[in-house]
Order: sequence, then structure tokens, then C-alpha cells
Amino acid sequence: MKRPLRHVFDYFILSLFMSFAIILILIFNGNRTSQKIILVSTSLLYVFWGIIHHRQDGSLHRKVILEYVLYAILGSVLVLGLL
Amino acid sequence: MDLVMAHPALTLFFPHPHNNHKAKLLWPRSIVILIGLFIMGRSIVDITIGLLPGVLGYASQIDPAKVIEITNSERLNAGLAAVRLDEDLNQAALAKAADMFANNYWAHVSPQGTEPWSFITTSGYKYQHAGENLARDFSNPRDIVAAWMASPTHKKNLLDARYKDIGIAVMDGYLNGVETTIVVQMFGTPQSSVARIASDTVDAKPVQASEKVIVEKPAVLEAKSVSAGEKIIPSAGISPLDLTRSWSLAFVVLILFALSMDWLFVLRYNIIRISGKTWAHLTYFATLAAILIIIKQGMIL
Repeated sequence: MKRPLRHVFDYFILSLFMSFAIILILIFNGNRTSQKIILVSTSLLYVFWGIIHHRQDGSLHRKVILEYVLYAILGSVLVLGLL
Repeated sequence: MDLVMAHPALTLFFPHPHNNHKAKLLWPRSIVILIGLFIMGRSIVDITIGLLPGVLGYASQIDPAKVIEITNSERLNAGLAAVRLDEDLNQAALAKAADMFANNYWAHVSPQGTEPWSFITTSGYKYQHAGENLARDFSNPRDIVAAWMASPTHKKNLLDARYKDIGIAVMDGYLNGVETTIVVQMFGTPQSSVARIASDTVDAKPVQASEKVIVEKPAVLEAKSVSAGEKIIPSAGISPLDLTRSWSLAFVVLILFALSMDWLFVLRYNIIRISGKTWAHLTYFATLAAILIIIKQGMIL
């Protein structure tokens, strides 16, 4: 698979995860516990996606992992504050 | 690029040789600072809510009969018999709602250890099976029942074939200084209806989505029963949810802006660097923005 095509596939998978998360949050509106689980799972998936993607890309670096982890923590804190 | 982007304030948002080709706002240390700032801001909001009881709040007027009607509609759709309104269960639900406001908690079991069954027994309802669903801060009955139906534990209670009776209380009051409307739904199977069934076990376990008990300080008790009608009562102030939502959204928009600029500049100037994929970060934060927008007022327990 050509690199750009693989990237498109990877981004498609990420978008799919994220769309699924939005749908689940909508379904579980009112159920704060479930929404927290969905949010944390989404953030973990995002970090996991980053690691897999950069590993396949040959660009996996400690700094890159730290970046994904920090963004995931920030994102989770921003939304968890509402739940 | 150097000439245009030399200002330190701009290096906060735009990739530049002076910021190692990455907006300073997106640096790991900036993210840590943003997390700290967000938590500090949230603490201020929470303290404000505590200090100004009634200024922030969310009150609604929900028709208890409508909650029963939708509940029965769900039961009929599932092929079950409808539950009947029972005056004793209604009194039990009212007592539970009043107790939550009086003792400032939001839980199935009170901080003093009083279980829901205590209210049912005190009301005079003799039960074989009983269950309790709780909801707060919803604006209409349909959303309440929809939230219960989306939760497996609450749905199990709602669609339990053993229940024959129902009691509903809708009460407005203050929890932790915030105006709140609580809905208590109690189900029961009277002992008389199963008198001929030999059983010495009383299945009285509540359906609990969470066991967390929220107790902070004595509540300002201004609880009142709510009668018919679904019209939203004009609240004393803005909803705490809207305030915290705005605070979170401000941070998400800031990050989205910095990421968009970063993405455009990297694309425009073919910048090569050790970094995560900006498009992936954009997707993640755009998702969070959508989640922040769609989260509705109201929660169940």
C-alpha cells in the first residue's frame, strides 16, 4: 500500500472511532457514568491510534507519544469537567 | 516568514523558526499549563456556584402523569402490562425527593444510610419487589424516560414484568446551592398480588447507575411539589452546565485554532519535524467540541 493511501485509511479509521464516540454520547445522554466511560475510551483509542500510526509510519518517538498522551489528558479533563 | 512572524505573541499560534516550527501553545509544557488553567478556572466556577446559591440553577416543570404515560408506553411496546399509579408509592417518592433536598444528597442511599425501601415501607406500601429510578435537571419527561431506557440498569427496572404499581415525585429545590429539579420514580409489586406465591425472599435491590453520594453542605431547602405542565420555569440564573460548557469550549476552540494554523503552515511550507499528526489532533478536538455541544442538561441515577 502506498504511504499516502495508508494514511487516508488510518485517518478514516480515526474518524470512524470519533463519529462512533459522538453517536454513543448522544445515545447515553443523561447517563453520566456511561458518558465518562465513552470519553475515556475515546481518548485511550486516540493515543493508541497515534502510536500505531507513527509506528507504521516509522516516525514513532518518545516526544510524539508524550504529545498524544498530553492532548488526550487535556481533552479528557475538558469534557470530564462537564460530566 | 521570519519577518512576518517575529512577534512573540504570534509565535504562540503560528509555526516559526523561533518556536522550533511549532506554535508555542501546542508545546507539551503549554498543554500542561492549559490543564492547570482549566482546573483553576473550574474551581473558581464551582466556588462561585457554592457562594451564590440560586444565582446559578436549572429548574423545570415536569408533569408526573406524563412520565407515567411514557413509562407505560415503553412497557406496552415491550409486551408488558402497564403499571398503575399508587398513592402510597407516590408518597414514598415524594418523601425520598424531600429527603434528598433536606439532607443535600443525590443518591439511592442517603448519607445516613436510609435506603429507598425505608420510604416505601413508611408510606404504608407493603411490597414484594421494589425499584427506584432517579433523574435530575431534565427539561421534559420524554428525555428522562429516554435516558433511563438508554441505561441497562434503569431499563431493567422500567421494563420489569413483576412491577404492578408506580409512584412519581417531581420536586424543585436546591442541592449544593444549585437550583435543581429531581424526579423520583418508584416501582412496586404489592404483597397481596403475590400472596399465593410461596416465597420468603424479598427482592428489593435498587437499580443504581452509581453509588456515589454527593454531600457538600446543608442544602437551602425550598422544595416544592410540581404539578402538571411541561413548561420550563424561568430559572433564577444561568445553568451551571452552560457555564462550565462555555469554559471547556473556550479551551477547545483555542486549541482548534492553534492546530488549524499549525496544519496550514506545515502544509504551506512543507515543514518537517518530530511531531504528532496535526490532522489527527484536529479530528480528536473537533470530536470533543461536538461532544461538549451535544451533552444535555440532566442526569440519571
